[in-house]
Amino acid sequence: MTPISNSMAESREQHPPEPGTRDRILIAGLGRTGLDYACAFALHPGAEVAGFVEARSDLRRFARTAGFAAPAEPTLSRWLEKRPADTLVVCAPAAEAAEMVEKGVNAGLAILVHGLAAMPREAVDRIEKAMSLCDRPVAAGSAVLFQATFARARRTGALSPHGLEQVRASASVSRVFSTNAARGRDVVDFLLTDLLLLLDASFGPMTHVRARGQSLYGDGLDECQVEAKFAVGLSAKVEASWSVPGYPGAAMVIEGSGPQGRVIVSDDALEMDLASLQGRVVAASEPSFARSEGGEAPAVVEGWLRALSGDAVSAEALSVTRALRVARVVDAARQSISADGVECEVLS
Amino acid sequence: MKRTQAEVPKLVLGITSLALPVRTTRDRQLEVSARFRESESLAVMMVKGVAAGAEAVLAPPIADVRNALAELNKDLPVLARVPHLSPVDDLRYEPALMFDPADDEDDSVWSANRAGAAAMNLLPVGLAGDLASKVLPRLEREVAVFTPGALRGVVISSAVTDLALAADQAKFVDRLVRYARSRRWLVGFETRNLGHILARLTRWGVAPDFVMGALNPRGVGMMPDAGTVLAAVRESGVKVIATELRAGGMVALDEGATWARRHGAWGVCPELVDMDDVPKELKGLAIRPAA
Repeated sequence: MTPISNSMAESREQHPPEPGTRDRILIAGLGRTGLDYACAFALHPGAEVAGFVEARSDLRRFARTAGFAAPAEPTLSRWLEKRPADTLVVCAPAAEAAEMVEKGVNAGLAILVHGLAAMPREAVDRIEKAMSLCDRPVAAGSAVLFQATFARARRTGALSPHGLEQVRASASVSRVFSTNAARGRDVVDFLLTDLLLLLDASFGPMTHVRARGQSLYGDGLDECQVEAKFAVGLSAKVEASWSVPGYPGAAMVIEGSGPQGRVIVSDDALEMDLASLQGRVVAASEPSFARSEGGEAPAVVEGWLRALSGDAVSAEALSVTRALRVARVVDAARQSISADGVECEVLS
Repeated sequence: MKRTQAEVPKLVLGITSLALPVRTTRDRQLEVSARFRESESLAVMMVKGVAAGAEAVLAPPIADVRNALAELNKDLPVLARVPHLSPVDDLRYEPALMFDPADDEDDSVWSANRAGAAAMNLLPVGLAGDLASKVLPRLEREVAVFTPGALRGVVISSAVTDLALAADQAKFVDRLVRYARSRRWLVGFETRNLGHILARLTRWGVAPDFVMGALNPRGVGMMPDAGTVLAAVRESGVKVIATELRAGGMVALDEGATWARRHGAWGVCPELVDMDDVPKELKGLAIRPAA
């Protein structure tokens, strides 16, 4: 990463760079999330969408239909043979993502991977290995780590292991009732992973998990309960369900209590009744972080560009190390569910 | 009788929060959806809202709204928010707009629509159609939920507007405007990026009847930032119907609406979640003259 000073970052904010000096973004994977990234980068003055890589012709065609004129190729190799880029944003399915990352690292590109923590073990191992060889900036994108109230709770220390003894966390959404629900997703990768990212960001690495899961409407897991132990000695009870009626958007809550008092953080608000911190902050009162809205990408895009400019807070929210850790927690939780709730160690 | 195009409304009742996530607390959204779960209660609320001064109801083409309107023996003025993309579309890897729900309606029939989609897959990428040709058939079908007498116009939902915005698609907006005007409908574009789109419309030289986007005293949802949005509202000449008036619950509705009008909004669109007593609060907004 090449840090630049804060004053330069401010100047960049006020005077967007001319085309040609912007970060040239190559987006691999033109699914819903890939298009979200394309939109967010296209609306950002610090970047330009240089092109797309997508193996499926129907998805390349749809991006063209939507109006994106940047060149699209079926393979990364073919794209890079013809044109330069600065950053590869990988939004492809896990099965393709590892190969994209490997090729991107070999080509000397900076790499931003979306959804790394929810990927299966084989893909995660390959991506970890490839990124360890990368001498350019690397990041793992997840919108939940930029959510305003949780970010403030971490920044102020309200959500930290100090002074808390009991932690409960839950995530709810209405999805299982959809006909789309059987498309290879389950509550673990769709919902639980984001909650585990928030917990890791707040309390540090988890070392052991004990988990149970229920399939209520099909073969996939619809609900799960996890008891997680953290390296700092704290433990947390975690629940995730995508079968809660009336929740079109995901709702997450983390509640902690101990000798220092009590804190509740949700997407709606941060409520602190701690010895050192008191008060209530609603999400809407937090200043906007991104320069556009829509989908999962705008905050991650802003964070990425700020991280490139030397912003340590943004870089921390995009930590690859954390995403890899959480991927292993998810793996351990799945093992525990399969073993009927036996405690499983999280591999480091 | 030849139908004339309606005036752009200055007070719109938004009921999209019945089906879509909005910027309010979870408890509030659950409360509102429970309150209007019965089609009769939704119908009564809409009638009272229009009687209180709402010049149109911004409605998604969903079963709840269709059932409520069916309870009534008269047409209410409707702005159809289309195309309707469901939150559950995020379970798919593919972009929601790639699929037309009509394709799933009858699995036993190889419909002309599907045959067309299959044929498209045989074409080179360079021969892809444009976004309007993807959106218009769906729009046509979705507005059929509303009776022709009720339909005052269409509001293109933000997911589509903002996709066209990011892809710099002046042609999309132009085609939608011409299409709607040929039917004497109003056409507006909902956006989550008001400052961006007002600047772009000026550059494109395309003028829809209105755009809808966040405008409130706290700057909540005003993209890319509050200052840019306010300048764009002043300078663009495009009529803006302000949404997010309560700034996620931080200001009172009348305060937000007054502020938005004072800062150049042509109209205001309070959502169901913004109001406890819908008729009373709409009446309060209706009687306030624009500053």
